[in-house]
Amino acid sequence: MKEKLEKIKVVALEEINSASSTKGLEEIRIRLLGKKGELTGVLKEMGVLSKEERPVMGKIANDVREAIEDKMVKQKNIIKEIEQSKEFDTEAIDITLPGIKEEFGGLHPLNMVIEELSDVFIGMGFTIEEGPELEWAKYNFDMLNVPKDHSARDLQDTFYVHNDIVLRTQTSPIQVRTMLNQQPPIKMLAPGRVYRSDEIDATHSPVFHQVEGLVIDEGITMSDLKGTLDMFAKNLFGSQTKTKFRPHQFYFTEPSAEMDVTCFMCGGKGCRVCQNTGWIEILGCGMVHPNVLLDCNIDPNKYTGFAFGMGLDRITMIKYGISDLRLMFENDIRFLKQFK
Amino acid sequence: MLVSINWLKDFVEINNIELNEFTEKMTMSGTKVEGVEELGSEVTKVVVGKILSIEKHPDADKLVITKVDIGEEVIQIVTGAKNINVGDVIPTALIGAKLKDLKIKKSKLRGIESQGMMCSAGELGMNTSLLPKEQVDGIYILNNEYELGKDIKSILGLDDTVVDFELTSNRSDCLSVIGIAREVSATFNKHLILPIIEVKEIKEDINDYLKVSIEDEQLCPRYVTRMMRINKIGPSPDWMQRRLLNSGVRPINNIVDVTNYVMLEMGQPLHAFDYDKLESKEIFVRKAKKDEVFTTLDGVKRVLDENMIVISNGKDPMAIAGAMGGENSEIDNSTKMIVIESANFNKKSVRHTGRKLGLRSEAANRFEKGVDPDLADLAADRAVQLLHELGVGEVLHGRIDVYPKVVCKKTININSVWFNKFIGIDLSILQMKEYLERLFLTVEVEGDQLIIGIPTYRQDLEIKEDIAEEIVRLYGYNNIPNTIMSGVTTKGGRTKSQTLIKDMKTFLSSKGFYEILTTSFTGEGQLEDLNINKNKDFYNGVKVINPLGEENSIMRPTLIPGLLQGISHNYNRNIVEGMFYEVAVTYKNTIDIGEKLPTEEKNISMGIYGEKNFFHLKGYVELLIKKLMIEEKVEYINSNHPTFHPKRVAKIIIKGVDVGILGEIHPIVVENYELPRRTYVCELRLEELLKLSNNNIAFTELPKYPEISRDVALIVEEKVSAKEVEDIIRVNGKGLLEDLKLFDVYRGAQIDEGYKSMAYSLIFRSKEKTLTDIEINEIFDKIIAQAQVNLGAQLRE
Repeated sequence: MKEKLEKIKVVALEEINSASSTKGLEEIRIRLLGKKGELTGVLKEMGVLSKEERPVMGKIANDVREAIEDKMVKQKNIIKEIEQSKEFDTEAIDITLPGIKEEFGGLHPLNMVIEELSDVFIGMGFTIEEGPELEWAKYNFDMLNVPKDHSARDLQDTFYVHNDIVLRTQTSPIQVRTMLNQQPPIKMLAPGRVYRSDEIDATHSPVFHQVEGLVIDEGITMSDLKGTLDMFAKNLFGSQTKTKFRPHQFYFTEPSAEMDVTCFMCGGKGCRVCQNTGWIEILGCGMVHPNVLLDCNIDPNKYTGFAFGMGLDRITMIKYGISDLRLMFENDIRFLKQFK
Repeated sequence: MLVSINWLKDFVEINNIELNEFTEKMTMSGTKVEGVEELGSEVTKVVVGKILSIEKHPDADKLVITKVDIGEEVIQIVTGAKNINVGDVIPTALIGAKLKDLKIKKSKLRGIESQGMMCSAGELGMNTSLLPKEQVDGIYILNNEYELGKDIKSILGLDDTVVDFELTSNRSDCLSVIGIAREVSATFNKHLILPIIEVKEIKEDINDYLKVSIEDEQLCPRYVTRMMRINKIGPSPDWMQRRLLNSGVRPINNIVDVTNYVMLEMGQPLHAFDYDKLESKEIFVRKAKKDEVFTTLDGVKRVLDENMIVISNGKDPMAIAGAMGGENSEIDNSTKMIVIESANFNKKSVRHTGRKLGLRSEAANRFEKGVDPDLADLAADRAVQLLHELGVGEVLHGRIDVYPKVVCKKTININSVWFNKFIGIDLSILQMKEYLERLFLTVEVEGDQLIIGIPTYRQDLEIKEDIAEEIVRLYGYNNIPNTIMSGVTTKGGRTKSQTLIKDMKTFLSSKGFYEILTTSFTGEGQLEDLNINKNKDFYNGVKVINPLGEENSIMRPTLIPGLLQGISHNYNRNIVEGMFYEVAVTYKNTIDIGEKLPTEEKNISMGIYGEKNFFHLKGYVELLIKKLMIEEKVEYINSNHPTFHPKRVAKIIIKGVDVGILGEIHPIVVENYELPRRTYVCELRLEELLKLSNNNIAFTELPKYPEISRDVALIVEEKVSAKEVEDIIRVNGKGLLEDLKLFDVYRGAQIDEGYKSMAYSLIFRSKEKTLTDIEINEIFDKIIAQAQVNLGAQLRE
């Protein structure tokens, strides 16, 4: 019997070793260890053995069984590994095929610039203010100290929808509204759409966009105006940007200035964008005219402030190198796609 | 304004200043340089020559052989020029000369040697647009004799630099060479040298010939006249013509040229009348009569109105103030006596006149911006002085000066402590005084106060802030330090609505939508193309009184036309699909416009075409509403909006409020706008949505008890809507129905024609206990029973 068991063991281990599939292995298990299996059969014969022989044989039989089972587990793992590897081969994919995706769209470049600008000024404690596009002529002109007979008020320049109501020609009336509604300190930024009676061409449009900024507080100085706008320019165009302030004239500020920044294309060396000057004119600004403060019920002896305004369409065009203003309103997807 | 540097040098010493430094510093002190043209910079070795002889070329019909005296020698030039005669003085380019576009080399023309070239105005780089045709065509013939062999550039004004200054509208005092010279003087701290004006008069007295009166001193604050007897009318001397040309003014004759010269030099527009043509001894400045007709010297009949000023002979107009003289008083070769007018006219009236008659002139430009009334007498004197010096005629004794209200010199006080605090610098009071005096303001110091006297030409200086600018622009804006604002901190940031809109845009962009920008204008045509009945108050939107064309005459009541144009633009460029949105303002009229402003409402429009359909767009709308955290029930109900497919359009209602429309564009509109056959569009009232937004996020405990899910498929007639089925399921859900999802709509095999199977997955859960199958079966049976009764639904087994 012992020889029988040993023989079973040798044969079995041999068979298991050469089994190459989970299925084959299972067949071996059933043939050896199943209810009608070889080893089971041998064990059944144990009944005929003497009391002394039974435990000895039993131990041998168990050892054989354990050896077989042990071997089976090991072989099973080996086979599994091989089978899995075969399965992996059949499941191979071309990892260079394109990903499955939903394309994203994008913001209009003009609004990208508005958001960027807004974030810069929000960081300096500014609020974002809005106002009507159909605006009282009074707010658009009179309260901004624009002379009664100024040509900007003419029908040739300004759209009217009523004798006293214009399509605002600037975002500046939002200053007026903010000053009328809020007490200083005021720090506001107002991006918005404005209108002037210009025929459409590569650089003009009757509909365009501006952003207006206003600060009113006690002790605001012209050096604050310069410091704030210089910081803004560095934030928007890069920390190496330099600014230059030139005297200018606006009705609602005194002193007034225009601010140039070093060209962000060439860094000031001179190129096509800056027309070889190294500088780009960016905005108009100045100290708020006392007449404007008075009209808005703010005491010019107590408060001072500064204001600035710039054309957003132009800034956007310069920033991205857009050649024709009309592209901004055409909404050609091949244009829009370029601003992600 | 174009300013000749050579002319400027008459009044201020700038020889040692480099051009770059000049332009940079002028710009930085407030007189912006727009451009610089160095005339004749490409021209070398061109000298004065005189034609001694002209002979035919033996071998060429069109060429001639000339001998030209260039001082030290006589050279031979072969030319094809036709306008030359023996004795003509001409610009002669020598061998090795450079002209605007060419170099001169020794050459042979049909076998005959040519040692140079005679030049035309264009070849020398002269401003040919201002020269008469006869001086542009052919060789440029000089008017006067010059030293032969002399360099031509100084003679033709080509040794000059012309600077184009961009002046702000308040600085009318800078619209002259002297005005600019004052700024140059202040900027570079150089002396200003003004011309000495002395008039040599004859005995005859102007008062024996003329009386002047003004109807309205508001319209004409001052009117000065001088008179002259004329000897000779002809071209003005070359030097004067050069200066006019370099300033962009066309030379005409000596009288007109002098009036222009003085205007350019001093800033005072002048006019000259033929005295004899006045046919009276009177000048009366009055308002024009309504519809008064007057022929200006260009031969055009002008219809005047009562806002214009005319200079009359007591009866008929002789000139329109600030615009143009009349044919009836024009100077001609037989003119014997002239009246020089040096007047001050009301800016508004001159501007009105110019606009109404479509006349623009250098004179009008100056009047519109404001001419110093104190200048009139000086300018009149300067003009007659020059005319006399040029030998044009003799000056009558005296001048007539009607000046009812002499303008007073203003004074402005400014406190030096205030100034330093306002600008954020620390200048001494004496530094301030020095800067102001450089600008020709008079300054007295009293303690901290500066008392400043303002010359009458500085009409722009009114308040202390104006004075602050004067000091600081000379001190240098860029010498002011850059500082951070002091004071209390302010809480900046976007409002809740602004943040929501920003988030919404980010969301839509991430979903594949492109943001567009469309015009705020629309027109009746575009609205009609939306298939909307003309009676709708839509058309009574806000109308622009002075639109740029019909298509821009109405402020858009809807964003849809702009969106459709955008879609059409792309579709017609073979772009197969697109998704667009815009957040923008729409406008509605109010009955009491003028009392109130029209209403403006922010809307959002979305449009898609290509693979996606109605339900994709609806899906985005649903997500958008979710993103805005609107918790109220959203209803989609049928609509009869004529822009949309009548069976594929939904009005969106939240809490009883109509918040927008969603649907497929009507085929008629598709045709009108040239759209893809299937275009899906929605327009939502953003402000209403924002009102409904509840962005307070509150956490809800996770469920403690398990869910039970059941699927059910109901067969219903086609006409039954999903909403009807869902309503029944929800009503019977008893608060235990947690979620409901339609996962399939099936038509086809096993389902009768005209019916559809709608498969829902229902999820039940209780907050209090674990639900049993028995409880759910009860609800489930009820749903099916109700659906059977109300909708004729059958359970699909």
